[in-house]
Amino acid sequence: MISRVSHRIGVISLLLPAALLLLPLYLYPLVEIVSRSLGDKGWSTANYLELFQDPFMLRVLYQTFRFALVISVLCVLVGYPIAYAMRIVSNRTRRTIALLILLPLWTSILVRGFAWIVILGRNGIVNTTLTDLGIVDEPLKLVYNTVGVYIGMVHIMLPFMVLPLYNSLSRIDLRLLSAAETLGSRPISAFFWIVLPLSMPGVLAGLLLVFMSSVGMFVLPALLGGLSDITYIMLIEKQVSELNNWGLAAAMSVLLLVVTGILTLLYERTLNSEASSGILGQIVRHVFQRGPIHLLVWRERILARLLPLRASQLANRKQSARLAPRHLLVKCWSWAVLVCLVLPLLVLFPLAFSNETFLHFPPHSYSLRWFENFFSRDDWRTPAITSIKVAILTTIGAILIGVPAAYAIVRGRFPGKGIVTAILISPMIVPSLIFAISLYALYARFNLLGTLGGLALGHIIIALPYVVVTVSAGLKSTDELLEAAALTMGAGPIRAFWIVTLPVLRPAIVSAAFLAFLTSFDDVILSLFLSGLSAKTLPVRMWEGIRFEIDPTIAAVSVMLMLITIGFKFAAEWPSRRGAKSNIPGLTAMQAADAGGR
Amino acid sequence: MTSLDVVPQGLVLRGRSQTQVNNSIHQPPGTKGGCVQLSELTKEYGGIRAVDDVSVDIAAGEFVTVLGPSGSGKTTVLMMIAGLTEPSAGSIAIGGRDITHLRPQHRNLGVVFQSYALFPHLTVAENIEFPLRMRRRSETEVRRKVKDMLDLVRLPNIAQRVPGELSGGQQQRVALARALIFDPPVLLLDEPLSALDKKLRESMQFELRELHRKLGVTVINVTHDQTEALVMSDRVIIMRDGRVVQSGSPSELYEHPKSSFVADFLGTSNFLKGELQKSRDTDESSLVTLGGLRCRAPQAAQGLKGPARLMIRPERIVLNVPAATQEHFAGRIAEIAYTGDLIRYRVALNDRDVIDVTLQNKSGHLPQSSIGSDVTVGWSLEDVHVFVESTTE
Repeated sequence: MISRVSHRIGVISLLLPAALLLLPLYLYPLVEIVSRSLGDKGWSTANYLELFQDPFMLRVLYQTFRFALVISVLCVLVGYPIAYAMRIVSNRTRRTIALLILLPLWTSILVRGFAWIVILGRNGIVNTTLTDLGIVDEPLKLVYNTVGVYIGMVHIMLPFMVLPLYNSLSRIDLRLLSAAETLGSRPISAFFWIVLPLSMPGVLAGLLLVFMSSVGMFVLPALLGGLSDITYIMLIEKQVSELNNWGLAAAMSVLLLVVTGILTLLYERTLNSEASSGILGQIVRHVFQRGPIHLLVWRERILARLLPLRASQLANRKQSARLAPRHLLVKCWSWAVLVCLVLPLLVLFPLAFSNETFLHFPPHSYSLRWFENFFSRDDWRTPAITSIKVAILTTIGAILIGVPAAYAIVRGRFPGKGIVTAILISPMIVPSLIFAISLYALYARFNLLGTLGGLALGHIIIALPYVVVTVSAGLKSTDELLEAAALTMGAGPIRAFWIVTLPVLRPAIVSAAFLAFLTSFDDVILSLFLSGLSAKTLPVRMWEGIRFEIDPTIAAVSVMLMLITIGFKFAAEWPSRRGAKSNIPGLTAMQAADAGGR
Repeated sequence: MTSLDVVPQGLVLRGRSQTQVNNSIHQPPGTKGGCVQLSELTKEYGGIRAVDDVSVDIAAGEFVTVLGPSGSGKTTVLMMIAGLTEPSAGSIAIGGRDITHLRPQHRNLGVVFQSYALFPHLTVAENIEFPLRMRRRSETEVRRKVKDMLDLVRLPNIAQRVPGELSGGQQQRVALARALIFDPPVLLLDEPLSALDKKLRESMQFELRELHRKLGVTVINVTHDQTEALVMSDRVIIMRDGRVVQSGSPSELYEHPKSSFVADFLGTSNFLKGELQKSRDTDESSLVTLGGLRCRAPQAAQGLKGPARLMIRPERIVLNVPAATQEHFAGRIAEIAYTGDLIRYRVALNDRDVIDVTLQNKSGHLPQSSIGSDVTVGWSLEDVHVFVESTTE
């Protein structure tokens, strides 16, 4: 009895810091968004009516979903061969591919947006090459329009597609393909009959993940899109910052949150489709797995009627010499795509060292002037220092709050554990712009805008899921009996944690700390709303730079950011090689563990 | 004979199989098994020869088992026949037609994999009809054949289930049905019974034999289980380190092993280590064991010399009936194991020579003896084999 009470108290005290942070600064603002959507005084559905009656609103909503759907489908088409290649190549090649896929993921979204502008712009690399070669007379319009958004978004979303796909492909027994071949099937039909249906859960999971993230994406469409490429999330931002129409923005946010919530639920079910017996699991199984089979059976039936193969034809098939290398097409495609993933980042390196005032590729002469420019000008240096300060504060806060919380949800037994976990992880799923405006409204009232502390608190909230996921994974992979053993030897629970669990967990915690640092250091949206003039961070400065005065300083900053980020990521990966492997933003711990370079 | 045209160059044809080739090539596919010729088949993995120069002729309708310890290359041979592994050298012909470089889907062979490789997302019926779908057979044929096959493997009522819901034995039958539905001339079995428990394995052995007799298909079975090999096969091919050590009917191999490896691998054997010597007075070779016993060598070993091993099966030894045997020695019972139908005695002939004796548990036939009591062991010369060490090891 005593132990249960003390256990309860222990759990509560471990979760207390997280509760003190999340209740006022995360849950309350979101609740406030819901209440604002229902009108300032009394309950009114006027805002919601406007959502569904205003043709412009509806058009943007439709456009946003269409846009997310196109990106998801493009990602499946581009990413499936890569995931398949990862399944069939040797372990070493698989690690290389995984690294190349994750590399862009570790790079700031602003840097990647900037890279695409440099490559696709009117005087960008593609256009200058094409006009120099005389293939086109007029530069093609590749950016600041829908094409640009698609290219940039697929570049960003591809890892989120490839990882769940690979995860489900890796569970397929390749001997099934051998069996299919001995039973008379060509490799291509073996693929459609065996591999594709068995990988459908992965396809669905990837589609949902990409769709969900694309709907909530703000920075990239805003950078690479044209005036007409407005998405719902951009419209929300416009309602808040330009029109000050909070009620409508709140209603729009609620709508997006509901959609995201439903998609997240579907995603969870898809991941466990074999295990879940609920309606969603059934739908996934019947529609997405059995569906293709029925189609194939019907196709064969019709073909058997129309174009029957006679036995003699089968017997007299030519003795074909075996194809030279197998899966050649898949492999070529994969390497080509991987090059396209990494190349845009490499393009920035020569530009950063250029000696010209305009972005020209390749530069005619090289110098360090843009790096000097960065370090000598206050309007670059100050934001950089602010960013570092905020990131350090965030790291300390997120670790101090996240590690106990992770310990409570892994080791603790208490009612409502599922909900607590969901809340701790949810900042990863809620579109950051919606969280940003909700926090902005709160900070405005308490004069917290433009303060370092305020910004850091916001960053802690978005960094917390990464810390919780990483540390949880680490905890799950350590033996609970170690602590029990320490207890039997006379150590108290706190002492046992301190001398047994903590050292075992250290790699996971170090990894989580790096992740928290980077989450803060890379954040654009939250900083855009909360930093004001006095706490402007480096990403905000870059954002302004890319939008208003593109000059090579940004290339120099990008190169530095890339090197720092990649260095950090490697450092974060390093200690966790053996324990928790989870540092892919937006993925659940399970997938992250799968993707962590096995 | 026009059929000789399709026989590839370099294929070694021998006696019986020559006629087999000519016969089977005119047979419509499916009505009867096809003959299989492996000629100088070799597979190298990074300089190591997993399969080393294997030449085997298998007659149409024969049930052949390739037997060997793990790593002997037996599965590699099977996978090369199936077309899933490409040989480094040599050729494979089925029904007189060279298929060495044919893709697996064009070979028309039924394969049952060790793991069964049933498609988990397809129902039993869809699994079984898969080969017919790939061959674009008409719907009526598909329906009829699936029903026939399910009856044949005695699984009439599970057509709509998925493999995950079946027991191991049922999965095995589905895999068999799937491999047989397109009437392949040759059926390849890769350790087909290894995943089943002992009882089921024994009944499946007889079922497989029966199926083989009914269908007349040529069966090539790969296993490391010697009982399975002896029970099911017309012929057993024993492999070791990628090479064929000996091949023949089960009784041939058991009664006349050519090496101590074969003797040891098939059944249980007693080995007495020693030296072959010529006795002075009779000019007859005999083996002097490490413990100093002088055992007479059979006719086949006359004239051989040097370190050797004498082999005798435990069930060919009698206890305490010295008059009925050509050779007998005194010993002391060191151990008795009671296994129900058999009783095993371990008899120490001296400090270094120990011999196992197996007796049928028939009433009145057992010697009244206990551990420590003195007995005589005896055997007749025709049951004795001698293997000279240098050539066998």
